[in-house]
Amino acid sequence: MPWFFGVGLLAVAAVVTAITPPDAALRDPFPVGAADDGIATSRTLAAAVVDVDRTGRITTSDEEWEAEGNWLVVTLSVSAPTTEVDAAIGVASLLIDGRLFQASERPPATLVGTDLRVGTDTVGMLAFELPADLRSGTGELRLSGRYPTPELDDVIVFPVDLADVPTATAVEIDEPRLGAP
Amino acid sequence: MAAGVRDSAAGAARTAFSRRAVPLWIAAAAVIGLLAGFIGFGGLAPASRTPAMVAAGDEARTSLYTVSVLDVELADTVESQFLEAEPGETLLLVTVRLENLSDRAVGVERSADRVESRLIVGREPMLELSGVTPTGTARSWRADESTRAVILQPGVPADVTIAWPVPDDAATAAAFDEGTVRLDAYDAVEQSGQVILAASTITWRRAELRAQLDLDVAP
Repeated sequence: MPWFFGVGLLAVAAVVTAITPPDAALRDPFPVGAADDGIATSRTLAAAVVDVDRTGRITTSDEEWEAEGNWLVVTLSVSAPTTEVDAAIGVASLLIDGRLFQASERPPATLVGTDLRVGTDTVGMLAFELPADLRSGTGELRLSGRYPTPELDDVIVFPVDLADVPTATAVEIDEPRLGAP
Repeated sequence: MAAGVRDSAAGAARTAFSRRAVPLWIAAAAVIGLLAGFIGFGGLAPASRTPAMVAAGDEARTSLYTVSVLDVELADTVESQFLEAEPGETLLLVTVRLENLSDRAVGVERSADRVESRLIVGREPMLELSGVTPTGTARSWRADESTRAVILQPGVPADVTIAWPVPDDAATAAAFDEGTVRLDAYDAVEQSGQVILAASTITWRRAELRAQLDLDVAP
């Protein structure tokens, strides 16, 4: 009988140890997912995914710049929920395969850092350059405000499944523009 | 007396080769085999602290990044970057292929989000010239594009040109002639810390010198 009691206590201790969050979790950001209408609203951003594509080549409309690679291009419709002060996507990252990618700085046009408007959507694109062998897996797209990934603040999270994403031969990266997608 | 000794020696030999001692022999053979393997694979060789000498075009691997030198040039101006050498100086342009082996994107100069790579900036950069002393801070850009500050995505190699201002004098020319100008690649250790605005950061801290890459200026 005492043996069963001891084993039971050990099991309880193991469960408590396993479910105790690490110290860093005290300051983790709060993930905000999309509501039923597809729009995720955080403190400074309201965003919806318009389109996701994978491609081997991205181009720009003026044909001066293009790049080959394993690209994931996300088109977003973003606005500012309450104020235009500091309303911009400062950090756009893709967490997949245990690795954290940032939206590429290579395309001349990007939604990162574009000033957003209250009540009017800005439609723009983010391109992520992935390793050539990363072809499948699930991950999440994370958007946060102007400053480095916040602690104890909202982060917009959209799930991404690479297997579900259609592949295009080439994607043209457009400048962010105001208006409906 | 002598007979007794002979008897006990014979007894010892019987015991040593008896069937009961077989596991002992197997264990001894296994230990000797392990030791032979340990020594054979260099277990007794002295630990090496000398950095690897890497020829142009070959890759130097550290724990968080790889670097290989693709091209070395001396120039006075780089028009695409609006970069011009000061009087008495010239620009040493080194094009390297960098790959980030860590699991977070890092910037070559500035931090991408919260990771400071300190690859070429700061007091103790990971990539440093030896044989010639730069006179100012290094600048970097993607080799074939003139865009914003370069971000190295994990697992995606990037060709980056780094420009160091160096003195334009006889000593520099002699150093290049003798082939003593090298790019020192230091190992990096990730270290997490806090900055005042409550954000936690990860910085790459410099560890031991891992490799020295030859820099030969193309004639």
